Amino acid sequence: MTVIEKVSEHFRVMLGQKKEEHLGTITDLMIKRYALAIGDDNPLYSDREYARKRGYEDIIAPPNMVASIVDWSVGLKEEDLHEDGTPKTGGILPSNIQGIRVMGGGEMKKFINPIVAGTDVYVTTEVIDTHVKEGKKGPIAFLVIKNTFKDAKGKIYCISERTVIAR
Amino acid sequence: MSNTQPLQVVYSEVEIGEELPILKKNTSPLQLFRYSAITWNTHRIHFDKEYALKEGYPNILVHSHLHGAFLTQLCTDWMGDRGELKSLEVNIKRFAIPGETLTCKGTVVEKKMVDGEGLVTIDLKEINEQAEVCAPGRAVIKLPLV
Repeated sequence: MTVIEKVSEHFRVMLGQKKEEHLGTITDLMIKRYALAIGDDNPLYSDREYARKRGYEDIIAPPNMVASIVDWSVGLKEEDLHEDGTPKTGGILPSNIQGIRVMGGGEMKKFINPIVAGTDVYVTTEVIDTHVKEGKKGPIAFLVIKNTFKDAKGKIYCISERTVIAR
Repeated sequence: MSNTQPLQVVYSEVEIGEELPILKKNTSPLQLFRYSAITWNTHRIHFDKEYALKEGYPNILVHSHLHGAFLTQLCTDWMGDRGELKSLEVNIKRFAIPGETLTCKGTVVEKKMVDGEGLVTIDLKEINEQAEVCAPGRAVIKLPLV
């Protein structure tokens, strides 16, 4: 079995897996830092009075912010990361798979409600598709992960369907 | 964008083929470091040049989500405070590195009324200095009717 076949088999096992997690509170500081990092000076992301005049209780997060955060936990120790910096456990690939490049292959996001600073966010993660395509340099395994970001009452803010490529 | 009220785009005045004002972005290693930090992304390809060279790239790489953030801003700058970004699809076709100027462009390709809401579809492109498309995309934006 080739390495990419092993990855593809691993992805097939993941298909249909679903989990819910509490991510935490989206803070004013997190929003302001994210907006600074992307270079977007929209005052909705930094000026509370400006946001309030437009009907929000506080500043709001840039639409794609929550779907862009890779790790909501404390994180792993350096020895628990692969050479490329990705986690050995809890990531897309099993720890015994080496020599495979994993990268983002695109994302579809639906923005249902804006996220106001102070919102406590949960996520439901589900693996919804996997397939293999023949690329120029060999087979490529695809995995599609759906993340639904919501609050404790089930109010949905953002739904993201992210494609991950392994080759 | 400034704190002054921007001109509001309205559905009734938008035309198919209309182009959004171009947004240019120049990324730096510091910006990529900050983006890795705020998204808690430990992938070395985005902050460790020595590692990126080992993987065969000429420098550290712009994050896929940062490409998406630029195309998001193109849309939100244009739609104004009364517009609503309903959806955004972004695909990464080519890597980008710090120092390159990335140009984000958008064209209105469809407008339709759905359940009383005025929706416009925007064809998006983020291109590098060699006119290669790094990230094509598509957005749907709800605009005030008048």
